[in-house]
Amino acid sequence: MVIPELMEEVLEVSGRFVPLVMVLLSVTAAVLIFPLREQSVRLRSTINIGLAVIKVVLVALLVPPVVVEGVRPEFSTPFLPGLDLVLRVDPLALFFAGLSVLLWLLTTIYAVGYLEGKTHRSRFFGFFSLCVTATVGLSFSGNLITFLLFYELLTLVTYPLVAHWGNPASVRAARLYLRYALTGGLSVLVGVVWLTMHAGPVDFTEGGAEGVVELARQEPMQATVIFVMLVGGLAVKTAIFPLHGWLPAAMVAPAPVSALLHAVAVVKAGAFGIVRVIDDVYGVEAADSLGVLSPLLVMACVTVLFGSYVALRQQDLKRRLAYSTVSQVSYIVIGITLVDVIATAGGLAHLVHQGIMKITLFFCAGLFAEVLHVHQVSEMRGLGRRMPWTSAAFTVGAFGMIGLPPTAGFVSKWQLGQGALASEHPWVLLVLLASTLLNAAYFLPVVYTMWFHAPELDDEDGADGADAADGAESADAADGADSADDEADDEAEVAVREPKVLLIPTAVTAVLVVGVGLIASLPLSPWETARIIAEGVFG
Amino acid sequence: MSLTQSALGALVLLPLLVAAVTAVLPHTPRRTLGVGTALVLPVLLAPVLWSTAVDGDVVDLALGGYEPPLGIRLRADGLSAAFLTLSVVVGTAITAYAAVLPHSTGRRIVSPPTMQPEGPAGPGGGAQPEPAEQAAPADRPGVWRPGHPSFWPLWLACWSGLNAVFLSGDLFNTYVGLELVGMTAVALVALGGRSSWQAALRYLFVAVLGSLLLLIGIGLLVSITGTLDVLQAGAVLADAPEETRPAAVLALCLITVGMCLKVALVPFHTWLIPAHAGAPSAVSPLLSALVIKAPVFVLLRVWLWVVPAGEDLAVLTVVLSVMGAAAVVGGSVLALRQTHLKPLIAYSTVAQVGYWFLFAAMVGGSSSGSPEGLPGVDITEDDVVSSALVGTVAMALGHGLAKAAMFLAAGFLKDLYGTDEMDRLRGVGQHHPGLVMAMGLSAVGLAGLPISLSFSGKWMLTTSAVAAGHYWAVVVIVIGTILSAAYLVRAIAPLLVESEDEGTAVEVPEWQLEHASVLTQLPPLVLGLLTIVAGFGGALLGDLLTVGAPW
Repeated sequence: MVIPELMEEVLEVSGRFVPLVMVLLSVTAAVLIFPLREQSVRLRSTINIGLAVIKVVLVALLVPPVVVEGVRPEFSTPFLPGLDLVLRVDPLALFFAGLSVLLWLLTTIYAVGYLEGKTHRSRFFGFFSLCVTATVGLSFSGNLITFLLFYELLTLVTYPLVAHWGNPASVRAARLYLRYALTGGLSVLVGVVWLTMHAGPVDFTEGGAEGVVELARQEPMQATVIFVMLVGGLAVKTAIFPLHGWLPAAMVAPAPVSALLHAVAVVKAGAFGIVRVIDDVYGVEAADSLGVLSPLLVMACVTVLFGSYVALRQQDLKRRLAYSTVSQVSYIVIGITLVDVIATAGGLAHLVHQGIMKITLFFCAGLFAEVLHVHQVSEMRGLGRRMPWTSAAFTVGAFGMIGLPPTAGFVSKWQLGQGALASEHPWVLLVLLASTLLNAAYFLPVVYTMWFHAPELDDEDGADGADAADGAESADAADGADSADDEADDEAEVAVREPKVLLIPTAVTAVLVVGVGLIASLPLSPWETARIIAEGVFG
Repeated sequence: MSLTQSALGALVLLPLLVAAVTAVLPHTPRRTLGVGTALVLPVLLAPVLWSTAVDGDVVDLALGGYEPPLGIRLRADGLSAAFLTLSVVVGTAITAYAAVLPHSTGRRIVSPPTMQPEGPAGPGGGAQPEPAEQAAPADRPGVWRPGHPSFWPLWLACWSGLNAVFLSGDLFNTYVGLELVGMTAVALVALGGRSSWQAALRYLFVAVLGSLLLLIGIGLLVSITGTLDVLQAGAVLADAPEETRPAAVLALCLITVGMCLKVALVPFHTWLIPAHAGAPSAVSPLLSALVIKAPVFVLLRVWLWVVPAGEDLAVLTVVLSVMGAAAVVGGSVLALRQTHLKPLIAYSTVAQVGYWFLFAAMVGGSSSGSPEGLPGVDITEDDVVSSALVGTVAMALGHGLAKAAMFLAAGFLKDLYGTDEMDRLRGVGQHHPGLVMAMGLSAVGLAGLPISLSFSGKWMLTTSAVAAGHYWAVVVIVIGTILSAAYLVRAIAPLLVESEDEGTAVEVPEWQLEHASVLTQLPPLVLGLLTIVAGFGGALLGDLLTVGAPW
């Protein structure tokens, strides 16, 4: 194996700069893209996708030395008197960074197609790059203050993305988002300041930071209050009930933004933060002895059921998906708070699995809306015949969400269930089962409607489809002419071809949903990596 | 006299000299000279900053070779260097803006074109705008034109005054510098045309009253210490506390009240709103970013270097910090209720001023709930004050950068569209992406969100407040942050929203939009970027402020 050896050498020489380079790459993209003129589409896409690919490659190269050999590249620089900014690569960091950079590459490709011919694209992609900067920075943060900086940065740079369309509805939604996220951020800020006062710069350490564990033993009251402030603030982005209000409202954002809000960036930043606080700041044992994990577990369970129930009642597809996110992200929190190796691993794996599945669903929802202007669940009749590839991807994503084998969703749900049985809270298994039933109840009818209902042969719809499909209609019509059968003719008439730029990322994520589930037992798969991390957490 | 020492002198004297020269020149050479000065000052700053920040030395210059208490001493320690840097950086950016866009320097009255053709762009010598009374009674009333050449001598003199305050090693020079700043600032406000004269007059009264109180305070200090030099006076007061204490406390009170007037601490803030909001576009940023920093600097100097802290100051510190807290909350709430951009930003200044006075609470010592003895807490009294000082200075500097960018952008919009009413400016941000970006960046700084110098400042201030057991200050900071984010979103979001119907969009002549070249967007954008970049300088600032610190 030449490459890992070479990589190790490179890491030794320039090791401390690797995480910095990762962060700077995204900033560079933003700095280059902002001043570009609207028309320079090709240059902008090249910069965007080129840098995204470089990041994917860098993360992939980092995996063997970090996960297998235990190298920990670290960069630190003084920030405030007595406080350093620390960027460090550990398996959990790499786990989250891997998810971000991979899905980011796909979302960027999707967004290039999605925004074709629309305005303010330089601004959009500039903030898009800043957003990935924040996510990569979050994942590599080595201490609480660094984490906090990137966490707040994420809030600020997603605001213009949510408000992108510039109409009153989106500005209102963006303002609501900002209100929630900033308040949560402030709570985290105060918690971090307070904790730093007592425990110094809180370095993320597997099993809990030294000073914090000490504090939790000596001053359980204060440690509990600080924990509540930290996790309470993070729970806003994680959209834990009752702090989820911003998430469904933010649905007005462009589809790629929704996809990244739900799959990688914002909600996951919150979930990742909760993982860091419980596992690497307090340490599971200290947190458990404070007695804060069980209430959090209950809240997460309530959120899982609440989100699923409300999703059932939504007629708007994107809103249904949004509430589904509310419910699914709390699985991660359940996994972390069960205090069990398998459950923790299951929760961590769900961090990645849910990301891949949800992004597939949002890509599909974006495609339906763009190509056929379908927004409501009731309008989805017969979509399986009109947009077969997209519908197939949607079906795979939905099956993953329900947790059917062999999808990725099955792997994490199974392990969560196992963990629940092994833990002190076996009743959580019932919550998981109920939620699965609810998931099925709100996804299966959609899938059924798509495939087994005849498409509405509305003239208007057909015309819309023809517009968006870039004249693909004529080719289809020619095919249809061969057949004398009326019905077949209709079918050809309604089938539309999706734009390739949008379809390819969707197909890739759909394949990943199944692929990740199938390879779960291979080394370096998300599940195996999650298991290694979880074992590290429990010593 | 070393190179660094000459630079120290030149930082004060060069702008003053150029100001005197420009006063007798026509408009165009004034601009050229002003820009030239702005190019030289950063060069002069470099050696001073190098000696203080890198070598950790205090730079001293006894003018004319006379040592204090007889002579005048210029002295650059860490605190001076920090504020001096702000003055030079922001001053240079605003000079560039004013040079590119002379329209922004005010409004002058000229005779109607029929009487006197469009020849004299700048009236020869007068440093004051021509009184309107002369033009008004004539058959043809005077015509108001944008751009005022008097901006240059006034601003350069103001700059010199600012640097004098920041570098002064003795109290009398501080007074002179502050007076120069105050008087020129009043005149600069008056450049805004007839509508701003009333505001300028109010400002004049406040400025004179503030200076007067300072002068009395300084007189008292001299009478008990026998010296004007800051360090010597401080030493005398520390050595002989019993006999000097009552007079010293009285002097401190007088100076504090005077400076609170000048810095517009609630409830003395009413003069600031019309003055800062009504001033010309190139002047508002100067006033908010630099001019009110001079009294803040004087306060820090007197509180920390001259009059030693003590139990008898408890009432004063409580009053000051309560006023500070009231300013943070009240100013923000009032800012939320504004309908116009520039008054909103002016109220934001009022709110920000409040943060700098929370410092008084930390100087007043820790309250009973001090968390000493808890694990990990090893903060001494001096640490509380020093980290509060770093926090306050970081917030003041961060505010300077951010507010300058914000006011420049708002002023530009007001000049271009003829209004700064936020409802009417709906959607104009789409024509000025750079400007909106600058406003966004500076909003991050003003709200004190990461990454910005204000955030570092808030962090240090919060740390010091918690260490001293003043948990209420944390609450104030949190509320202030939420409110400021709210009013900043209110200010910026409408610029991004597309007009709901085309009819209500603000119209702007084609040539004006063309005129709004990329160059004019550059100074606010640079200042906005600096707001963010400076956020990484928290540790540097902390080190810098230990140079020549009283502990």
